[in-house]
Amino acid sequence: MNKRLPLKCPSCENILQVKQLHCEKCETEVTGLYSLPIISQLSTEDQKFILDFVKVSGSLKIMAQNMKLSYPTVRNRLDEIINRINNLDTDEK
Amino acid sequence: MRSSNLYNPFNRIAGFKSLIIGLVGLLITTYLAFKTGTHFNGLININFAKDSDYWLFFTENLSNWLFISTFMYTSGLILSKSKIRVIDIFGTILLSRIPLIIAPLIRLIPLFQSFVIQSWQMYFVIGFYLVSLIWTTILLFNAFKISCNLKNERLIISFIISMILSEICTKLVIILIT
Amino acid sequence: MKSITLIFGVCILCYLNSCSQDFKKLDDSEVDKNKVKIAQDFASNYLTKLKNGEVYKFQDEAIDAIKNQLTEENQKIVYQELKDKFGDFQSLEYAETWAQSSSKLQIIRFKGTFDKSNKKLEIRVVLNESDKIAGFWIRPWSDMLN
Repeated sequence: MNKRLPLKCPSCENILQVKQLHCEKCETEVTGLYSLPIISQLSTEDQKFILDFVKVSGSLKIMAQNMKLSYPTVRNRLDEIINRINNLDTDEK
Repeated sequence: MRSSNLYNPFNRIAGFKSLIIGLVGLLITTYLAFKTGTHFNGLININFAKDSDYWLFFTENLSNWLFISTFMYTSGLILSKSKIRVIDIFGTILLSRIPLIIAPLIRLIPLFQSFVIQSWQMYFVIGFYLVSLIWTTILLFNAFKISCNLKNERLIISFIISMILSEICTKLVIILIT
Repeated sequence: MKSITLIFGVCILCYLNSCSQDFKKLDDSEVDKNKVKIAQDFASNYLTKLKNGEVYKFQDEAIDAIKNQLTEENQKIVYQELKDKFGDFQSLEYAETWAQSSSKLQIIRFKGTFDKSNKKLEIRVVLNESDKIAGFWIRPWSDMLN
């Protein structure tokens, strides 16, 4: 079963933070308060887009061919993701 | 065919591909316009007169395309935060003009070649032209929106201004050459 | 509601059609070549004379209203305006003939070439029942008769 990492609080919609990390091998538990990396705070579709983009060495042309979309459509999508990352970055600061 | 492809094919077609398809469309439309005496003497104007040579019809259609593309490209350069490509704008806008082929196509029918003003034939042809004009305008808007990645007020205001400036420039060119 | 709209639409179309029913474009087989010759000779002679700096002298080929309107002075003024805008007359070719059923008029349209214009102009000659010139216009060509 594919589980999705929850990003927002189901009660108040605030961005979730990591409180506890667990080692499966030696059963160590680490407790603290850590922010989720910015990339993890993006939607699944956006994360997939970024991964695919990196895999094609940042070529929008190849991305467009693979996604069967036009170049400007893919470029616009990338610009939207850049925008969201910048907003998350600003919120964090 | 999905309805989105009729009004916004630019999610899938842009760049060089749209330019080539658009050029073929332009040549066919111009040829039919010449054959039937259908002048596109402005971005939104039409006139019925078999009164000149092929080159004038070609100049009209070419001017319509080049001026609107230039003004929209300029708007994109000024207002858009994205890196826009010339070929996307010129290609998608050229593609958006393909529905204008409808009016000269209708005028191939002998009944609509010569007619009296305010006759049903005139209204029939004008009616079809209006449908093609609305369709082309929707396509043009979407072409501009996607190629320049503009939204909201910037998109609407720059679209209207580009249309007006293009109309003026095309009219001036046609006055000069005729 | 749909049927009412349809009936309304048909009525509008019939009304509009009736506005133009009076005019009918003649097929080539219906055209009286003699009338075309009369119109063509008149238009050609008239414009050639003015081009050469002369004036056209009417005999009895036109109705009085035309003769009174196209006085020698008016001919020169109108031709000069035409020349300033479109250049000198070069040639004309027959285009089409329309007939008006109610008044038996025939509208004979020619396409004229002028040396300053890249577009052809309409030279329209109207003949009455007695083959007299009852109308004469020069205007930008349109495929729509108005």
